Amino acid sequence: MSVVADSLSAMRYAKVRAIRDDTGLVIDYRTEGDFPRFGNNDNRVDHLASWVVSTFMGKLRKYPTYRNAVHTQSILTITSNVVYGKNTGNTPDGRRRGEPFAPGANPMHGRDTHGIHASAASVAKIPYRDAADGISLTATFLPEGLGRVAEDRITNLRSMLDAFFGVTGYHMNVNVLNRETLLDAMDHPEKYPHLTIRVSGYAVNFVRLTREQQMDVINRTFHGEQATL
Amino acid sequence: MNQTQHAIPLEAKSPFELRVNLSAGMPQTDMRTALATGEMGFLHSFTTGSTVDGPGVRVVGWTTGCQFRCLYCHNPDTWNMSNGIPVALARATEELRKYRQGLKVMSGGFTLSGGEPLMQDRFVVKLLAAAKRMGIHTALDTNGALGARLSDADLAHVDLVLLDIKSWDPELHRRLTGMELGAVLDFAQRLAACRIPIWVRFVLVPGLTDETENIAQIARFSADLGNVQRVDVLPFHQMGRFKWKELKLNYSLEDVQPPGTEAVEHACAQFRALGLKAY
Repeated sequence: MSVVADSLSAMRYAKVRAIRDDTGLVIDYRTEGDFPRFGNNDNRVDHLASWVVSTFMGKLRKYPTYRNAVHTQSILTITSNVVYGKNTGNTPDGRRRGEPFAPGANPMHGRDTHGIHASAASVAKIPYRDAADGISLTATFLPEGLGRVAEDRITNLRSMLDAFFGVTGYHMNVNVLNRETLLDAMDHPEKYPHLTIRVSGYAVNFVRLTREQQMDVINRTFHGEQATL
Repeated sequence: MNQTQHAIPLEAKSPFELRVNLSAGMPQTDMRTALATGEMGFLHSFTTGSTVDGPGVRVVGWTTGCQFRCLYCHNPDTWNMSNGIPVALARATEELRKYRQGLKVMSGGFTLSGGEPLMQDRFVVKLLAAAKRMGIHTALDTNGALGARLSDADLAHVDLVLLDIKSWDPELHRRLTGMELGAVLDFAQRLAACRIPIWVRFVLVPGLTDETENIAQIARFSADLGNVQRVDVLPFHQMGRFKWKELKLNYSLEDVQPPGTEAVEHACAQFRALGLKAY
């Protein structure tokens, strides 16, 4: 979803030119100028994300369902965001062909540059009524990113969840871990048989993920990475 | 002053990026007007969800411009004011307003850090006052040396001061920062008299600030103030090294290793021995 929102934002706020091959097929984009990215609590792009979700749902609702079942959609991917990305060409937001999408309703890796409060606020704007099957934000923190003292960390994480659900946040998967731990687990899975991480609502065993999926988890934004600043 | 002329959007940059010359094209007279009126300030960046810049979960703005030249500075790109983005007071207030409700739920607030925020004292006072009017807790992270620029009325907008005390020994302070220690201590005493709480921040740099006697004297001074609620012992790190290199500045701490947990714990213990909370 964030890829679509950022791509639309690029088209609206920057200059995007389509590059075609000999058959006229669009194979790439040249994007000039800056544009707001989803995940920074900036309505200019966050409203585009909500618009995509609601518009798509509106189109789905036009189709009758089996035994009049309620139409729903979900903004969650579990680990499929890697496969979706693998089969999707270049996009106008600057994502290259084959690169993974962000998981679930997450902003794209590294584009949410204003911390968890801003990032979560963007996701909380997505209208639940048009995605009643779930809107999933996976947030990864370093322990020290939650506070300098153990009890502060617990209080602060609890506060963040309260703030998220106090507005219109729907679902947050929280991981508190060190990137080094994950990198070490990739090389020495035998040392971490029970290392469990949350991905889109499911707890998965990290060492059983494919190497690509592991890299995708590692490349996600870690909040508080340079918290000492 | 023509504000639209310098309208660089306040977006999509992080405090961990090197920023240079973002307002370099701004005429000197406009810059002076901005500083005098406080209707515009210069910001390096801002973030949300910070848990290490005061109590609770906070929004933090980093200003540009600093008169100190700390040998261990991790953000030397904030020394020069023109490296920041010019931001209108109204724009900054509007951005902060988006977080008001969340900050309340998270017992957090707004921290202005730098750079040295008091290099832009009018802007800082106006922004903190705006935060207070929205019911947001305010903290000022400062080296304290320009504390005299704030009147008692100005200080009413500050709920907490995060005060850096870099060193006790005046000679070492001069060598570390290029500036005098006296004004810093004067400001601390004034805050004590006004009963404004302080969190002391002390950067532990191996071979520079880690002498037992140096720490003991800062601890004694802090404990005697009576308004120090907490002491943050911040271990020196090398995350700013690349900025020194990029800016072609001479970095004298190239080979200094961050202190071990034991050294940090030892420093904390010195503060705790005098009844202070230290982490």
